[in-house]
Amino acid sequence: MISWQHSWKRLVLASILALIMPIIAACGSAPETSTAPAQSTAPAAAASPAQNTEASPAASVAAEPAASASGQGTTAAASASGAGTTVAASCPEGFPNKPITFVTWSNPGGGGDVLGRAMITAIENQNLLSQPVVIENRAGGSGAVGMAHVVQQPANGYTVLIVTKNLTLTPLTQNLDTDYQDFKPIQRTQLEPFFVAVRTDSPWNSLKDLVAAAKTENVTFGGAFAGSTDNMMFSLLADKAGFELTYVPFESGGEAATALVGGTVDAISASPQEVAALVDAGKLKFLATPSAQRVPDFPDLPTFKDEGFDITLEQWRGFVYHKDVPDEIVECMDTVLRQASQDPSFQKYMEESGLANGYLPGDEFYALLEKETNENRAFLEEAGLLNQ
Amino acid sequence: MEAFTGLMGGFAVALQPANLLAAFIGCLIGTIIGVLPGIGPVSAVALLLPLTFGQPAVTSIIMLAGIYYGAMYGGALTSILINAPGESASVVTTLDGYQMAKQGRGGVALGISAIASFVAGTIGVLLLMLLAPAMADVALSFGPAENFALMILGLTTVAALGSGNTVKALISAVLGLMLATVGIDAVSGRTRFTFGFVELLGGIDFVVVAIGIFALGDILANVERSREQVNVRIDYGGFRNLWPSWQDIRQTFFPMLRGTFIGFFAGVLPGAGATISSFLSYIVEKRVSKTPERFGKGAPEGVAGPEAANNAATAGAMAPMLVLGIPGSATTAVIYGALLMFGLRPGPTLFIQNADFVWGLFASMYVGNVMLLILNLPLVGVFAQVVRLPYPILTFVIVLFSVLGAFGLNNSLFEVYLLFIFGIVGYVLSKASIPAAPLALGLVLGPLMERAFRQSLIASRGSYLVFVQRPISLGILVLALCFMALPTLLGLYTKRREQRQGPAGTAEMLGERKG
Repeated sequence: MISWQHSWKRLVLASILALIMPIIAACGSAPETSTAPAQSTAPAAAASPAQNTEASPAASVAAEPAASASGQGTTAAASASGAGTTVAASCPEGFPNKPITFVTWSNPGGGGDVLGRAMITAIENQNLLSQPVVIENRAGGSGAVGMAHVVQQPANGYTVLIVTKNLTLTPLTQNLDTDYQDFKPIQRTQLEPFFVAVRTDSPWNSLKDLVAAAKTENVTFGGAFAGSTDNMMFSLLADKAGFELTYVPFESGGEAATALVGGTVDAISASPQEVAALVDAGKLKFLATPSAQRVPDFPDLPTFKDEGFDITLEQWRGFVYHKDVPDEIVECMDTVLRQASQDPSFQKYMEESGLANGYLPGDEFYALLEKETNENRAFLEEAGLLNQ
Repeated sequence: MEAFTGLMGGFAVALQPANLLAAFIGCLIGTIIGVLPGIGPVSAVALLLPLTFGQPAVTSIIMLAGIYYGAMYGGALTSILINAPGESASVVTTLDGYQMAKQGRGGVALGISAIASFVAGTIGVLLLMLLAPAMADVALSFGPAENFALMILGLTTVAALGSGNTVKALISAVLGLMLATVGIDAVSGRTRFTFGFVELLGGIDFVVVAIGIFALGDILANVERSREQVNVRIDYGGFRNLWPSWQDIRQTFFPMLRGTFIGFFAGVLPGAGATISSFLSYIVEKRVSKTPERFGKGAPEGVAGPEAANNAATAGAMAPMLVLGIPGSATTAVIYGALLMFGLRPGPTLFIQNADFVWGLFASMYVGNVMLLILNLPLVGVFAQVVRLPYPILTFVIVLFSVLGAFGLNNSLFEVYLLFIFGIVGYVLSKASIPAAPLALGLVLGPLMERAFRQSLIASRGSYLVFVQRPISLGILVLALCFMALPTLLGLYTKRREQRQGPAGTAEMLGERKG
């Protein structure tokens, strides 16, 4: 054992050093867009070709539906090790020259997170960018944390924000300095329908039954937090149909679904993906969707309009930049994302998750953001949720 | 029988060289990453998700499960060695684990923790195989009212954490509950106590608070002690003491078993299953023990039970996720997302259409546990050397890791400042000899409890009867009541017996002496 016979000063010095060093290190990297996750891709890229050679003989032995997945994997690995030479034609000279970050306010495994990861896989498969793309989860505050973060990043095109309808809600309900006007939309990418679900053994077989019951007896509704699109859907329905809404907010779709099956609430709003397993298990049934058209996977499921309620609501997800990012970079990213969306892996993900292609170019997307923000303001004011 | 053949098929899949390699790499990377206090199992799995793409679904999921186990173990490592719990489920491990490390028994604590994880993982996988469908239904019967009752049960453990002084433990727990109110309130959608900081909208991150009050608080408290007092921790009994002895293992075997069952059943329930189960396991061990006064001072049972519980909770959380598509914890949510990306849809059909996959996963969870044991037992000695470092250097390492961990949460300095603030809070708490663990518990349970309470009342239209009308909720509340009342009743009972027998006993003794 080392004898350590130094004075008190050493201890103090060590403590001070301990405090100062990481701060210096942190300051160095803070202004740049997140170097930490970028580094994590380096071992990933290095490791994957090696593992692929290990994995491919196994793929042929295992009778898995993953034969095609493994094939894609090989190309992905090849493109990663080839360090990417093809760059989308429309990109300005020298962009990108460092890794790009997709920021999402979803938690890992959430809708925006999965979209980002699927997009990254597709970009790698198609070899569309000469630099890797990494995902960064900045969850919290219904998207507020993610929005506030991206607005503070340099407008150089290396930080992309994955947005949802919350972009038109959260700035109104929270005390934020940020709203849709601080961003330059790249594109809207996908649409996800909402469904109204009830227990299989409930006496209601249509939205009309449910509404009729809500007028005469105690029916409890559930969905995401107060001021969310789920809340909005049932509020609008209550308004149009003329019943008093009892709405229980939940943390996640899974939690709401559990409460529905357990009998705490009587009807919920959920995305089909969140509750698919429960529907398969025969615990839940869908009554209607507020989508504009019938959902292809559920051709027999009526829309709210079919049932006589003039309400249209859909979740969407898209990509935006800081508002000061140059137009040519925005165009470049739009092209990259559009080409990546054509990749078979991405198509497969969209289809299996019950998502629809919701492509809108940047300018139309911006108009939509403006329109929805105004509509939401009216709803939130009535619900008393508007931040003054 | 069907399960048996299924499992054999599963092992055939899991033992393929590529899958074994995936399990090994997963466990190794998971352990390394889990050692960074800011990166718990959730971030580890999320961070390394891309690494698994381009491989068959089974291989990827095996690797993810390996990363998860590895990170859980890595979390225990930092809890024991440097008093920095990387996630809420390993807070309890610091109570006795860090004390053991201070006494030079860090290696023993690490070994016990590895063995406990192995035992819990093994039994947990068996329980999962046999009970998955039934357990998934149990998860469904847990609505807000039941969750609230469960949180109350969790909070009753506070008294046991306070090493005697219940009032101080309660002060700490209430502080934790108060901190938990920061951020957006999900029920009303309103912001509370954020003072204009956007970073606070999502609430105060648990990891920052835990590392601050435990690790930094401890360092600050040591600064004012003299060198001799601080350096006592370097003293080692000898090389052989690095590994747990047979006696240690015998002593902790039943705590491991109890922890496993508590962990599995609590893990099935959505929400804070792993955390609550680790606290519950600790309180159970303390109550069962003949020498409860050793707890909080380096009792190996206090490490074995909770570590087994948080590992078994992992297996438990898989049940509702695989059967019903309801992820019971943040990490299973990530794995759920990964499954969807591989085109596998969790649900009853998964067990039929992708039986290979399901059994392969179960088998590989087992293989992963064995792998973790093989990987970590030899390394226990190496890791335990960490505490032999001269204290000034060790301090440096701990602060460095803490700051890196806090910074890594969001890549922002805000968390680092918060970390320092909570370091000072931890120092003040230790000066006032207020235990820190109840604060951590309050912070984890607070948001869940408040939300469940308000959800129940909205749904019942304001009737408080909802908590006692639902049988499961009532049962848990009664259990919580027993937990609270038991020590007092027992105390009364023994006192009365002493009163009855005491005088006679002394008289006899006196008589003997006289004679």
